[in-house]
Amino acid sequence: MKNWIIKLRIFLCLILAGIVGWLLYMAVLPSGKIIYINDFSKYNYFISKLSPKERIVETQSVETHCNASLRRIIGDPVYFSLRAPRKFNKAKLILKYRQCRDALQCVSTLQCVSTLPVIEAGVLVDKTIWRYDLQPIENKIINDLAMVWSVIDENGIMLLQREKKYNSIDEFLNDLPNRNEIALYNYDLKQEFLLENYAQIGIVGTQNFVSLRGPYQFYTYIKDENLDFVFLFQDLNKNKDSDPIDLHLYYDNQMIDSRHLDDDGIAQDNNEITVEREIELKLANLPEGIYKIELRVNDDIVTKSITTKQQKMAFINKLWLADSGNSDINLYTDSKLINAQTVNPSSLQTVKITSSALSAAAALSAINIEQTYKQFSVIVSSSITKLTLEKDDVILSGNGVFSFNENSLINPDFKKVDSYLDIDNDGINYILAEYNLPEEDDGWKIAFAELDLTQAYRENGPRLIGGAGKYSFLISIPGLRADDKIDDWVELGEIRVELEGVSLYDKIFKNFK
Amino acid sequence: MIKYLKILNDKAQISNHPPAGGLIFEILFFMFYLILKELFYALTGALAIFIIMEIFWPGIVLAYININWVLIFWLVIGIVILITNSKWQITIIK
Repeated sequence: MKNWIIKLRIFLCLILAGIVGWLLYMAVLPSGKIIYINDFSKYNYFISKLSPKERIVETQSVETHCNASLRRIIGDPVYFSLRAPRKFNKAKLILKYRQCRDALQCVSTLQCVSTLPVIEAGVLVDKTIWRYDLQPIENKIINDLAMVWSVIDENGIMLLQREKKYNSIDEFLNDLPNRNEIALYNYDLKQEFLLENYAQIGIVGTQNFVSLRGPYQFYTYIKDENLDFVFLFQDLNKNKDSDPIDLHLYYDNQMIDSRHLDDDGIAQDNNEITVEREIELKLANLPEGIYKIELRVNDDIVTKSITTKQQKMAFINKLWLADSGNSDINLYTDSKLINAQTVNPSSLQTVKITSSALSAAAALSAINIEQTYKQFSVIVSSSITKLTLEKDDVILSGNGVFSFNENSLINPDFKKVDSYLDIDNDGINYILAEYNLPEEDDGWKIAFAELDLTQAYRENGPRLIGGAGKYSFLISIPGLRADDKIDDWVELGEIRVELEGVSLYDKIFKNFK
Repeated sequence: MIKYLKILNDKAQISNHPPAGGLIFEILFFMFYLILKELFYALTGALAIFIIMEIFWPGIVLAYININWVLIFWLVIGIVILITNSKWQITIIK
């Protein structure tokens, strides 16, 4: 009897040891590889729910042979997080989805009135400025053009030609056509950007701007002159975090210099506005070309002024005009999409949009900001547009650059293949894209995005030894709005994340090397 | 097993109380009791280990095992053991 009990005890201990061993194995993952899947049928510890809930509708599959839970995305963007037990180097995010137009083909009861040309997904890389590294999931423009234009596909890189001229991608890269004929998608094409008629002003050409709030990036141009910028900052101390200031200078996508200012010492939300502090960014003997300056701060930091001797200064994609009592502010942009938003009830206004070629009276359009915290958008067709704002404290964003002076506008970026690109009118003859066409399976599309997690932001919870960290993901579907009364959506059937990192063997081997 | 049959038989004769469900039932029930007791010890150990693991490495257990169910299972077994023990007053004779 005693032996029998001891055997039972040993058996139970072995089961417990096995469970503990398996849990440790799944936490350490010696192979460095793991796959997490969320098909929305039940609670998933690793892949969180999609949020915000206002942009998600929970549905059931309407096909007779299937009763699966689905998530219908009705607004852009949506977020989810992934709890990973350890750090990983890369992730392959695989989405099983269909748009209403795909569902329409297989289920006649569904109605669809809109199509969404671009779907992208990415991982959060910078929490300070909420920057996501977005990768393509589907680009319908390229999908459609691939059926009509000549296509060369080499190792996931596609070259589409209106009329076939090049026989390989290398041939194209070695003999690039005019940059106005090229549009890119998810491809970093390196081509020297030099202005032919650029001449430096000679004497001090100082520019002062209205105050800007939060982070921003802008392009500037240097030719036989020193880089000369003086920034004046103020801390509003409206949130509880510390507010350090980082200024980075990039040339050819490489950071070549930076400046740092520590927090003003008040890491509280006491609304105490501190004294103005200054950062000088002055460099000599720089080669001619385009430079990018990035300010990495949170929304507590206001740039009171930027003083520079450079002629060109164009803010990339977004800028927030801070609340400093300015009125009748003129801005110029090459953006086709213009978004405006305010968080200040006293800044509700109508933004006049005119073509820079026309007189101010000939208004092209207007953005009526009639509600706080809501983004209002307009799509324009002119190449350069002038915006006239009645008051400041407005967040402006778009798919191009913004400047306070028409002559300061400069945009070295190639045109991007997105929903705002007019292939014919913009004279695009070549498209270069790092993109894989989605696969189709029983009315569903399956597409993947490969994401670099080495630079991704991983939020760590409280822990003593280890613990699951969270990677934040985003699914972007430009043009999809929950409040636009249009019955359009993207339905997700499954989210699958394949993670890959350093194996335990490699980690030990490298440490002992 | 034979030894335990004898013990139970002796107990029944001494107390002039034959087992209600018969001797076989009594034996099976006694074995069931012993198994439950061992399971209870194992679950106590498992809970302690899981909680310690969670303290030092949050999420390591909860990612795969719902400790609530382990706790409920442990509690139910504990209650069953207590009821059984008080009803039959079985003494393990070494």
